[in-house]
Amino acid sequence: MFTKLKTDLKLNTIFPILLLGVFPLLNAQVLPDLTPKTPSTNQFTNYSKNNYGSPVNSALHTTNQKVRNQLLIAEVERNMQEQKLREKQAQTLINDALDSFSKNYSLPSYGNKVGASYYRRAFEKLQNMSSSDFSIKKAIFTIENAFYEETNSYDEFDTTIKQTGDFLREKMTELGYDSQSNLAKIFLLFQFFSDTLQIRSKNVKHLPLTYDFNDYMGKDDWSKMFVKKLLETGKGQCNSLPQLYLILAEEIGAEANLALSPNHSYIKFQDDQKWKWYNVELTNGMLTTDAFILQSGYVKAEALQNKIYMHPLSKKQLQSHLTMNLALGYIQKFGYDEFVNEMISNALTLDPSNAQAYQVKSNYATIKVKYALDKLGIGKENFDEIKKHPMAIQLYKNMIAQYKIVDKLGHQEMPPDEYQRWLASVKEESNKQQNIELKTKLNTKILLNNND
Amino acid sequence: MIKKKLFILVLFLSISLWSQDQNKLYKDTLEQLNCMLKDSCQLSFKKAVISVENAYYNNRLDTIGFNFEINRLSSFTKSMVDHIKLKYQGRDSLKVKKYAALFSVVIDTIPIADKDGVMYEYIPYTYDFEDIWGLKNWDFMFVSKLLETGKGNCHSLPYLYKILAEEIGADAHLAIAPNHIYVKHQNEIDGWYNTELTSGIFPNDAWLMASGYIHLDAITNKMYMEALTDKQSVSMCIIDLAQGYNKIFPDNNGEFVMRACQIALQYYPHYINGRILQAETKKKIFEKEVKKDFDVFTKEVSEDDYLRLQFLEIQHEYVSIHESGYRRMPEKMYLDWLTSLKKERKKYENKKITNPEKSN
Repeated sequence: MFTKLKTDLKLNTIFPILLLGVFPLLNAQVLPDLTPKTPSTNQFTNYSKNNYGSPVNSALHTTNQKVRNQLLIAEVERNMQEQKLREKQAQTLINDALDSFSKNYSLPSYGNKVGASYYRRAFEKLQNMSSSDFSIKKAIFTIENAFYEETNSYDEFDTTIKQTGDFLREKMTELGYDSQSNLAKIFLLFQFFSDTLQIRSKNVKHLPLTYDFNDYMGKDDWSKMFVKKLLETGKGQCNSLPQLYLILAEEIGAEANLALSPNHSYIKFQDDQKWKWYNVELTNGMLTTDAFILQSGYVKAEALQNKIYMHPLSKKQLQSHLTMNLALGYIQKFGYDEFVNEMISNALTLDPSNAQAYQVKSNYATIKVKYALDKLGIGKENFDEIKKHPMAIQLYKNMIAQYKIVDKLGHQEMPPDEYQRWLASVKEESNKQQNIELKTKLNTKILLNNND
Repeated sequence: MIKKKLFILVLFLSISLWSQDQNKLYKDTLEQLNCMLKDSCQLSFKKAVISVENAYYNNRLDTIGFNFEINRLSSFTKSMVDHIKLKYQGRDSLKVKKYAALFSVVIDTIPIADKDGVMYEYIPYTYDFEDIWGLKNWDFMFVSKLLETGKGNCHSLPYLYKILAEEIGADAHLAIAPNHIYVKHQNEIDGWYNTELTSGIFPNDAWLMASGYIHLDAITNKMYMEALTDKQSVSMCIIDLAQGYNKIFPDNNGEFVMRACQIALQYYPHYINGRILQAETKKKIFEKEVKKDFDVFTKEVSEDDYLRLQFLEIQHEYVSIHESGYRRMPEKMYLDWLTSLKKERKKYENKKITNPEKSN
C-alpha cells in the first residue's frame, strides 16, 4: 500500500518536470534545508480519491515510445479542452452577474420628481459654457435658479449687478483711482464688502456685507448658500460672499481668483506687478496672511503639494467647483442618483484634482454599496455573504478606493465647531494688526500709482 | 641634519599617503552608496549611515560597537512591541504598535523590571542644544555620537529612528523642514502624521506651515514636508558624505563633491541641501579659476566666454533655488521655532495621536 503511494508521488513530481523542462530548476537555486523538521499534518499531500479513482492511463505505463507520445499529446489536448470549458462557464457567470447588476444595483433616479428636470437643464447649460466666454454671473444665476425651478428673472439679477457696478465705477472716479489698475479695482471691491461706502454727490450709501452665522452650511435651508439671499439680506457666508465678489469683479473688469481651504472658500488676488498674492477673507472683511489659513490646523502638506487648497483656481477649476455646487444643491433637494455621478464625472474632467468632487464621489460610492447590500439582504451579521456577489464586492472595493483617493489628496475632515473657532480667530489682535498693515500697504501702492 | 630632513620627508609622505587613503575611502563609500541607489546592492539605511560616519573617521569607527548598540536597541524595541497597549483601533494596529515602540525607545523614560523584580529606568536620548549644526564638530551630527553620549540633534535622532525602524521591519519616512529632519508615518485612520523627536511631540502640519518660517511655495514644491522614500534618504546620506569630505579636505578641488551632488540629485532632484551644496561648490570652483587666471574679479572676467557662462549658470541656480521657496534661517531663529513647539504645544499638537505611555 505504502509503496504504491510512493511511486505515484514520484510520477507526480516527474510529470511537470518533463513538461516544463529543466529551466525552472536552473533558476531556483534552493539550498537544501539541513535541519530536520518535525513533520506536521499539512506537510503530507492529500492523496485521496482522485489519485486512486481515475484509471491510470498514464503514458509512462507503456514501454512503446510511439504510443507513449500519442497518449501524452491526447492528455494535453484533453486538459486544454477542459480548461476552455471552465473558462467559458466562468465567463457566463460573470456576464450573468453583470446583467443582473445593471438592472438592480444602479440607484433609483429622481429624474421624475418635480423640479429635477430644472437641474438637468442647468447642468446642460453649464456644460455648454466654454471656458472662453464663461460668465460667472450667468453660471451662478443658472445654479440658483435651478433650485427655484426657474422662477427668477435673469434681467432683474443682471440689473442689480450692473447698478452695483455703476456704483463702484463712480466711487473709483470719486477716489481718483486709476481705472486701469487691477489692484485699485480689487481694493475698492474689498472696501465695498467690508466698509461703508458713500458717494457724496449723489448721497448714496452702501453698508458692509456681514457674515450670517445662522445655518451657514445651508443644512436646513439650502438657499442660505445663495448670492440671491446675500443680495436680498446683506448677509452671506463663505460660499455666497466670494461668489458675489467674483461676479462684481467680472462686472468691473477686475481679475481675482477663488481659493479653497478646509470647509471654506476665499479670494486671492495679485498686485499689478504680479509679484505677490494677497488673501481676502470676506466673512470678516479682512485681508489675511497664509499663516492665518494654515493655523486652522487642518491643511496638510500633501493638500498643498497636490494644490487642492490655498491655490488660485483657474477658470476651468472654477467651472468644476461650480458644477459641484449644482450637484450639492441637487443632492440636498433630492438625494443621490446616477445623475449626481454624471455631474461628478464632468467636474473631474474639468479639474482632476477637485477634492470636493472626490469627497462627494466617495459618498456616492458608499450609498451605492448600502443600496446593493440592502437589495441583497446583507447586513453586519451576515457580511460574509458578500463573497457570493462579485459585483457587490466590486462596489465595496470601489468605495474603499474612493476614500483612499481623498486621503491621498491630503484632505482632512474639519469638524464644524473647529471651523467656527478658526473663523472667529481672525478677530484676534495679531490678525487685526496684519489686516491694518496689509491695507495700508495696498493703499499706499494704489496712491503711489495714481501719482505716477 | 640629513636625518632631520629625512624624518620630515617621511612624515610628509606618510601624511599625504594617509590622506590619500582617506580620499580613496571616501570615493569607495560614494560608490557603495551609489550601488544601493542603482539597485545593484541591497539598500540599507543603517549601512549607509555607518559608512558615511566611518569615512569621516577614516575607517576607525567602532562598527562592531555601533552594530551591537543597534541590535540591543532593536531587540528592546521588538519586546516593547509585544507589550505595548494602544487605544488605536485600526486594522493596521500592529504597524502602529511598532511606531509607538520606536518612539518610546528613542524618546521616553521606560521603567524596566529585571528577573528579580528590581526596577530600572531606561533613559532615553535627549536633545543637545550645543553646536546643533555641527559647525565646530561635524561629528555632532552623527548617530555614533548619539549612541555614545546619549545626546543627539535633529539629524542624528531621526536617523537613529529610521535605522531602528529598518531593523524591526517597520517603514518610517524621513521628512525635512528648514535645517531640520523629522519623521512621517501613515496609518489607516489618521492618514499621514508627524513624529517630532527633538521635543517628543506629534505636531500637526500647521506647526511647520503656520510658523511663518517656511515659504508656502517651498511646501508646494515639495522642498519640505514630503515623506521621503528610502532612496531619497540614501541620497541625503550622500550629501552628508560630501559635507564631511569638505570638512576633512577644506581645500579640495570640488571634483568629489560635484560627483556626490550629481548622484544624489539624480535620485532626489529637489533635495535642497544637495542643490545648495552643488551651487556652492560650483561657485568655489569658479572662484578658484578666476583667481588662477585673473587674480581678482574684474571686468575682464566677464569677457572670458567660458567663465561668463559659468557665472550665469551659477546665478541661474541661485535664482531657481530662491524661486522654489528657499530662505536661509539663522540659528537663533531656528531655535526659537524649535522651542515654540513646546511652548505652544496645545496649539500645534495632533490631538488624535498621543504618546502611548501617557495615554494608558
